[in-house]
Amino acid sequence: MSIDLSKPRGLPAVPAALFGLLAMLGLVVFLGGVSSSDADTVKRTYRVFLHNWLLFAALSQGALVLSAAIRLTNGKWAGPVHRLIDALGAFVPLSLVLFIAIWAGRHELFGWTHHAVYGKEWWYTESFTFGRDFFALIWMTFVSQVYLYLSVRPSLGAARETATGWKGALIQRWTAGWRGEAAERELAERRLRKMAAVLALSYAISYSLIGVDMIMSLSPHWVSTMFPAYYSWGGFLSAISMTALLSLILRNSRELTGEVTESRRHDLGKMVFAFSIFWMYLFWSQYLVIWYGNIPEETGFIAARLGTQFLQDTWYMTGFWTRIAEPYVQITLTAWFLCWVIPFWVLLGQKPKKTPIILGAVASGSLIGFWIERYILVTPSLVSPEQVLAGAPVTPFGGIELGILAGFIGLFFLCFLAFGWVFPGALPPQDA
Amino acid sequence: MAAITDPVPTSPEDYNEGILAVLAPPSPIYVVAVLTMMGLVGAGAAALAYQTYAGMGVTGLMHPVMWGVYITTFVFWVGIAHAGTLISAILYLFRAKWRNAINRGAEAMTVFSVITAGLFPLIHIGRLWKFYFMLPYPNQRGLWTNFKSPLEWDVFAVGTYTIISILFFAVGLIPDIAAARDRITDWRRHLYGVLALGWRGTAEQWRHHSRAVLHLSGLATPLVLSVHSVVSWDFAMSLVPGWHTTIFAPYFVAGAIFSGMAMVITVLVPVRKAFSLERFIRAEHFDNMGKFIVLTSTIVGYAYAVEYFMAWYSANPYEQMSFWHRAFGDYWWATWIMITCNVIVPLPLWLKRFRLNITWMWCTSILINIGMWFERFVIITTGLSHEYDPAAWGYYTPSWVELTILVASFAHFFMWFLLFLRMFPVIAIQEVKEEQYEHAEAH
Repeated sequence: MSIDLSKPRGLPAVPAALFGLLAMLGLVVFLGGVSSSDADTVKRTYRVFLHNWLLFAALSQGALVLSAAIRLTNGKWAGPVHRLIDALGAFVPLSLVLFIAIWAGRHELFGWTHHAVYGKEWWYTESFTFGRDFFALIWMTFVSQVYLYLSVRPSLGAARETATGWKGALIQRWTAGWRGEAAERELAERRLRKMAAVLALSYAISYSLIGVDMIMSLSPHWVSTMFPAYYSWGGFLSAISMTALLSLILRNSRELTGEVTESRRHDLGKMVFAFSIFWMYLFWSQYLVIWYGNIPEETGFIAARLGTQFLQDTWYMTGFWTRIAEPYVQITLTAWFLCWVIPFWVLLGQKPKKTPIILGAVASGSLIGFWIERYILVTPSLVSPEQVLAGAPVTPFGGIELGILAGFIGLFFLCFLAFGWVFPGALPPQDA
Repeated sequence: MAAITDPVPTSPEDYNEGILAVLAPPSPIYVVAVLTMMGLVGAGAAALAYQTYAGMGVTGLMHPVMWGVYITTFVFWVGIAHAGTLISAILYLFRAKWRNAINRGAEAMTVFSVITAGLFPLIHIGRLWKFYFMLPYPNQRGLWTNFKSPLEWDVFAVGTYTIISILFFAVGLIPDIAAARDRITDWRRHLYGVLALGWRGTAEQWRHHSRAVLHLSGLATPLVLSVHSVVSWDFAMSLVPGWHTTIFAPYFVAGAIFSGMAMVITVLVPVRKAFSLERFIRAEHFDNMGKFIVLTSTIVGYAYAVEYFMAWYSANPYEQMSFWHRAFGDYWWATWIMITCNVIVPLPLWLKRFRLNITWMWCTSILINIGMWFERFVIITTGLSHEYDPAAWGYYTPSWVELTILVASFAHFFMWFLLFLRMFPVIAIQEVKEEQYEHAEAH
């Protein structure tokens, strides 16, 4: 179908207001939490902020890696959904800004800011750790902006004639030296392929570093060679679930009407299905080696999340219910169910993959699963199971947890909408 | 070094004639090549007979290095076997049509390399005739296999892989064997008659055939991940410094695809030249295989970097010492061969110009094969030679028996591949036809 690409549209009022409200709510909860006189509340607020940041920053950046991967493999299945994937990357610059809050809360989060870690004295210092992470995120933001610029520019030909105001000025700047649509497309395609490789490589390195510095450093004596890759892959996989979910929600919007066909839903379903297996494979490969090796410096991290016995010997069911009642075990298993068990068994056949309500529910479940999984990667390192047994309040669904989640959802989708608002043809659910 | 040009076949007959021409009476060079390979396999068999008669003392295996060239070579050949399944199953499911010209050759390689790999645990155990101890069945000895051992997992993983890859290979061959049956007039006609299973090319048969390929692809896809993961756990489940590491499973799988793809190039370049298959194995195929090499080389390079970083990060002196020893100890040369061949040599392939240069690709692929053999050698030997107790450190040098058997393993693989070339169509005729017709229709 033909789409009028000539004018940027107005921001869709209802969704924008809703996400604006959520963002405000998040801000209020965050500011209220960090300015509280109760030290535990301050710690908890920063902790929740970190775990949400770890999800949304990696998801947004992972979406651009997905976009890059589709380009590099000449994938034809995405069609107009490709632009939706690009729009998910609009949150990347904001994730850099939000990282400042983690820096601000470093003394509440990272034990190594108070006492040096044996053998890693110079690796974990405030200036070096945050310096390299800021550098990595600034680099990622730069690469992402160049990638999005190259991706969007060829479709701004008509808009540069008609857009006015600051949006017009922005589009004029993004289309400086316009060569005509055909030439622009050809040039962009060539440059995008190169940028796609740079983006994917940069992501693997930068987000591995973030995984080490922002998650592993919370339990600084724990070691796992898999973990950096496991965390960065998680960003990629959550981006796939978000793509599937948004394609279905927006399937009646202006750009996507008639585009989210049965065959495309099948492809999206296959992606969610296949990558949920891959997530499980990474999880299992890490888990099994640690379980089998049974070395205390490795098992501690898993035991804090999956219980003191790692659920072994449960074939006999002896003590099963006691073990499953240990702190965090049920939460960890919930993430495991949502990220793998449900996607695998529900999407095994062809028909569920093609049915919007089923695919949408599985993708939503998987996103909630990733949110819980990020929670479980962070929290037990800061509030140990022993502290929980002694009465420390931990729940993924408390007021602060849900408030800050609301804030992140609000900001994430405001960026998503704004991207489509400025760049016509980029997406927003105007008529959804 | 000229860039690859890509003429395409002009008619349906051109496909049959062009591909089946490979089955014509052999040239003297071919006969000499096969006899040479057979001679080398014979030398390996003699070395094995000597080892079996004299005992494992004739190898260089001695405390502390009890796994050496044999296990290295086992892992190497299991790795090579991965490209076939990747190309046949995963690329099939991803609808990557370019696989059609190379999938038959890659599937054949998978079968021959997995068979070659399977010989090495037997050679390594010394008492070959005791191998059945690894198979679980109720027996008078009152012994049951140790299911907790990753070595036992290997028996199942590699066994399953062998069965599935042979099935895949045989099912894919049926229509082409039928084409050969209708064309060849010598003794092979009878063999093809049996193997074609009464194929007449009816719509009903095609329907069954395509469904079988689809389902086998679905079954084989997890195997690409599982087999080499299980092989990696032979090492990772232990507590040996440099072995016990969580990234091993995906790192081994990436390495397996890397080496497998390199072997496909090593084998297909001479075949393409010798049998004038330039029309079928074209520039796009080398371009895409080059991209796979770049991707998997990057993953392997990432894994090397993470291993070294985490060895330092662990603050564990044994782990740190093990990796220092790898890079600068007795086996520094092997480690630097590995890093150079697997990470540095593939770097030019980021540029299309090099991916399309057939001589460059071929030389690169050979160096990658060397690098990947050394990767396994480095992991196994450096890990065992410097464990926890300095009093138990040692240095391993393979004996002539092991080296003869190593060379014979390559000869064994190439011997079977050469025989296969003369027996069955090396390119899947019906699949390249389909691809060309779809391509023509799209235009």
